[in-house]
Amino acid sequence: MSTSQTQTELAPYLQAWQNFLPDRAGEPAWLGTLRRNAFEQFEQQGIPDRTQEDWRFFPLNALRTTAFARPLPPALPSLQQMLQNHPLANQPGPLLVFCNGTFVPALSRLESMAAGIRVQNISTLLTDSPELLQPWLAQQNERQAGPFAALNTAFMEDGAALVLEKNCRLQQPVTVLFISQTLHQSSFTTPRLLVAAGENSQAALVEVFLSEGEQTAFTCSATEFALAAGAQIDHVRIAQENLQTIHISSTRAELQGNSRFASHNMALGGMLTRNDITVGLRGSGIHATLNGLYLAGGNSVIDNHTAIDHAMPHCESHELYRGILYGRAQGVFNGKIFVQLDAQKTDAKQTNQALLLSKDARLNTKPQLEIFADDVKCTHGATVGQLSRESLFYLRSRGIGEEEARAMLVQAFAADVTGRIPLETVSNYLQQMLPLRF
Amino acid sequence: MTLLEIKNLHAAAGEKTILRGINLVINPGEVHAIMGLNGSGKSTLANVLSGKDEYEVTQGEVLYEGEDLLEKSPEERARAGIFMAFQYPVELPGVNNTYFLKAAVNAIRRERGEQELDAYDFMKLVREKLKVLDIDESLLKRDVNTGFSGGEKKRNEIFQMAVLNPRLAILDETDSGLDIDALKAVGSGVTKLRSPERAVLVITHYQRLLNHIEPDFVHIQMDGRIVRSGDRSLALRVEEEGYSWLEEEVRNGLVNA
Ligand SMILES: Nc1ncnc2c1ncn2[C@@H]1O[C@H](COP(=O)(O)OP(=O)(O)OP(=O)(O)O)[C@@H](O)[C@H]1O
Ligand SMILES: [Mg+2]
Repeated sequence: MSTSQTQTELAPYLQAWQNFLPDRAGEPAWLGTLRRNAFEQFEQQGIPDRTQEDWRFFPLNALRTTAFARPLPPALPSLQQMLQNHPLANQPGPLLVFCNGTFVPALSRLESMAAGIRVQNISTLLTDSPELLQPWLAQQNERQAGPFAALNTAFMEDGAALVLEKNCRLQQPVTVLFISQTLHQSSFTTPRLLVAAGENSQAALVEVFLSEGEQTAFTCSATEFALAAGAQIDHVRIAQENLQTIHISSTRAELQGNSRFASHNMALGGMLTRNDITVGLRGSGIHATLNGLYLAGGNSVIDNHTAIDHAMPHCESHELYRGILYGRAQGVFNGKIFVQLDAQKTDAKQTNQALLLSKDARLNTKPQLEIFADDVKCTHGATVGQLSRESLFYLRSRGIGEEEARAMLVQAFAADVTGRIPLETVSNYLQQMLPLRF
Repeated sequence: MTLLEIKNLHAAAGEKTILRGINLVINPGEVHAIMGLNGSGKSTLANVLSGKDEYEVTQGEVLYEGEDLLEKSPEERARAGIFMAFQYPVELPGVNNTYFLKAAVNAIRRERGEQELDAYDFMKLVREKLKVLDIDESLLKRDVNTGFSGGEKKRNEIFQMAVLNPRLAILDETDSGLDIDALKAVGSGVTKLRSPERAVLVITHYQRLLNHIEPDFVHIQMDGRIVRSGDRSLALRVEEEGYSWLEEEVRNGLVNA
């Protein structure tokens, strides 16, 4: 990348950075250092282009040509209306609502938690107990996580944190809504979620990205999980923003012995969506589950990159991704599995299945297994197909119209993934969000 | 009025010609049985009647209630009252049986200008049919045909038929692989459907089903044509003696006029 080009591409971000830093004067010094390092990294790496293997299929031009500014403060009345009957905003359990990067206490529900459980927005924690965050925030592979994770850290404004002490269990899921209100201008937000789960603790989180308004937006999200031995975490991530949104996310999880981590990555909206999910298995007896559903139509692009690093013996990872592509949508699935020399008796299974519902929809799928241990069980499989003609005919022969029949079969295909989410409200919600026409 | 009239129907799958001039008239109130050797095109006939698009009609026509049937889509045919119980019902993992059946019932009702059934009335209807056919209610919770035994799939077809209440029911070897009890259930399902306005076309290899469903006419299909029509006794003779006598006669030019 030539320097001059980089300079112009990054100009809006440099501008934003210069405006942003002075506002952050009251923050702990360690965070300022993290931010500066992160921005430096972002500058060094720049916006990737398609000559980079990991970004081959992802057209980032929109990021170069649109000058994304920092967002305006949220407008509450319409937001309130939007959430009033939203099934995910009304499910039991704590709710944290963020709009345009800002925490919205009026629409959030932070119930009082048992001792040892802290569910809070990050900026409040930074003022009242920064010591809870410091060991965890931006501590995982920041260097390897790429330019967008760095961009998030540099600009991280607010976000949600869940800190669980040893043996603490949450009965209800924590719901975190990140809404970008794009009523008047193109803006970029940097939502952050941090989960530090102590030994044998347990929780489920539902992280949802929505938008209000039809303008372009750039959501640059970062999520970190640190699971101590025996911890159990379910993470549902639902991206459902408007069809102008560029959504780039990095989810990183570091897992210690005997922990259980399940990621349910539901990509249902946006114009350009890129999700990187990286999981490190650092002890033995770990079960990691990476499930995903991706749905794209029109000219949208959805790119999921997952990487599972088996570093220790006797761990299992199960990965099931299903995609539904129609219109001229393009999908990318890249699943890396590393099995290190020490990771004997690893059991890793990866499956990617996609439906291409139109002749112009495309999928690039690439499993990438790098196995250095010799006593392991690793399987991967990818299938790409259309709706079964036999099944369609069967439904139609019972009087069900073609369009409805197609929708029923697509719903059935999706249900295999959504049905694995251990929260019924959430899986029902997702099924209802599927389009009725393809 | 004639319910179904098939005139000189020829159909092919790709290069392969399968039906070579089928003629058949079915009036309301009648039960017809078609028998014939494997591969003679019985399922193809049923599939063409229900609108499967892998078959191309190359000649002839089919009138249903006086209208051109072949130009209608499969769903239009179903909404017009045609039901086919498939020889090999497909499994639809992820599609709940109740949800599926409700969608079907209401699609048909909408077409007829009737009000859609709500959950309560629908369940009432469904429970009543389950009871008549002696089918366990657990069927409703399962995905359509998924993991069903051969017999369960056939029962599910008859159950759907009972709920959808067609004017013309086509049963393609619904009796194959059924135990005695299931066979009785199929028989009683069809008998319940019989009325002066409705008709049934049964495709079978065995005359034992015909003990439960008394046919008015029996047809023998060979190599894409109906070569002999008669009454019940034709089925008995075929079961006892096989088809070779008839093949012999056909070779000598003795076919239906
Ligand atoms: N889609 C198709 N493509 C090619 N050949 C086909 C197709 N469908 C049917 N055939 C062939 O046409 C012939 C008639 O098949 P069909 O299933 O109609 O016979 P059938 O009388 O129902 O036989 P059975 O008694 O075994 O059920 C067979 O030779 C079959 O292989
Ligand atoms: Mg057959």
